[in-house]
Amino acid sequence: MTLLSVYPFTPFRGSWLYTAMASAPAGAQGVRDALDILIAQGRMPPEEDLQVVV
Amino acid sequence: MTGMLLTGNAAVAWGARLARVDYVPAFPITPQTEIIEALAGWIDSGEMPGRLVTLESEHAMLTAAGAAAATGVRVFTATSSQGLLYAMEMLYTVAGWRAPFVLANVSRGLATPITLEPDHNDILAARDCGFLQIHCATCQEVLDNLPIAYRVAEDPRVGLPVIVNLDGFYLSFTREPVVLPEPREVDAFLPPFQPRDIRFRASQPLSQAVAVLGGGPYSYFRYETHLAARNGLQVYAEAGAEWGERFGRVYDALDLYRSEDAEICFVMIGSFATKAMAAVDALRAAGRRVGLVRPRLLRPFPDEALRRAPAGKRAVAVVDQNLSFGFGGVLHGELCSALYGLADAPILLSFIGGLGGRDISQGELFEMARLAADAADRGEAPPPRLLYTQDELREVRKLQTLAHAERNRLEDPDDHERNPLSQRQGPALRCACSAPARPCAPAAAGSRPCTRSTTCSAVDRSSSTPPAA
Repeated sequence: MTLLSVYPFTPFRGSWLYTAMASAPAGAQGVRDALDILIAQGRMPPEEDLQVVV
Repeated sequence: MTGMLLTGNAAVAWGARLARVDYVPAFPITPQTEIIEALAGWIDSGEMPGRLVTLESEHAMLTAAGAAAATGVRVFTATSSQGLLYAMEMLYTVAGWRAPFVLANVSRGLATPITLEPDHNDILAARDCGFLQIHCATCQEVLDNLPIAYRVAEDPRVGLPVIVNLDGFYLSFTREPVVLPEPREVDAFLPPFQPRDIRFRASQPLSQAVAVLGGGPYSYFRYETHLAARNGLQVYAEAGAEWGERFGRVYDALDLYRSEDAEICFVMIGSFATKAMAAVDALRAAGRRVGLVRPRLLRPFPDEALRRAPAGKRAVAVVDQNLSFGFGGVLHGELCSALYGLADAPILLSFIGGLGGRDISQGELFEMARLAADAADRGEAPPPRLLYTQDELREVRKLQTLAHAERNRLEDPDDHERNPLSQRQGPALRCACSAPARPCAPAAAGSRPCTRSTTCSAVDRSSSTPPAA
């Protein structure tokens, strides 16, 4: 596990989701798909989009 | 409202469609696959908006589901049996993210022996993970409880994922008359998902599911999840009552059938409870005061309601379609804990039945009611009992005899045509055991009768006689 982000602190200027060792890419897939859906439905302006990395 | 004949799987798919899910991460497994096939068909044809993505496993599927829910869309997914177990790490993980979504589990017995037919050991393995559990007995209940599950999951008092459970085959592939609610009426019941602070936005960086140091914060967040799950009792009652007002079908944590004045009660979950309803009717017609208590919610556990429901009963026959090895029936144990210390608590009897889809007959239900009445008279519960007939035992003995005979023939050094271990050529026989490519070694099981289902038995379809049906 990584202790980069430990409650209540985070060193990241961006967002972060701790998933699991075995399935980080699948977590990124879920975030990417959800962002695409939100933008396509007009529920989130495109400028709020994020680049999802593992 | 439109009436249709729907399988349980189609009822799940319609429930998800009526709940206007945005995202379906998917992975196939029998007997659940029809659900994602239906959703994939609708999304592909444009009948249903949304995105369906096939992942590489159930483990990945649950990760994507939780991650998408944590990003702020309404997520649905489905699995069964081995798939639920394969996803187990993520069931525990995503529940702690407090990102609500709904998972349909189509119950199927767990390996080993591997089977496609249903019992509840798969869903009960997920008992402590933080997902709420709604157990259904009819296709209508399945459909109705999809939108209800989203209402409960997304309620700010809960904020947890929910599993809607239905039995493989008995519900998944059985068509029943189902009333389809009007989409706009479901919309009025279930407004669009409001993720509130659970979301990712470029302008509002957020770290979710971060680590903690020490047991203090860990205990805090774990217990908070427990309290949120407990809130599910009240929230489910409210949502189920409102569904009843809108659609005429009320749902509560317990489904009580002719139990009010009953002296003897069955307690069981899932579709086999409908068989118990028929037995209750027959026993009532014969003048016996028998009823049924069917927990619909298993997590959160409706302990208060369960303390009230069997009050005044003389005996309760708990029928567990599961088996906790070394313990017994899970539902029986949970009911015991709920009733502990209750004055005038009924005698509890434990029956294990319906494993791997094994039927529970009316005659067995009558016998269980009789045993329960006897136990009440004696003031003592009999030992736990497996529902199993002489005929079933005879069939298993036949299979064992066949396996034994095949083994002996395989090991016969004079049978050069059949024995692959002979120096002469012959058809290669392989084991039908869990190591499929391993030839039957003479020392593997000796000449003892096979007593385990995994014991090697030679596959020779040309000469093996199937046991009589």
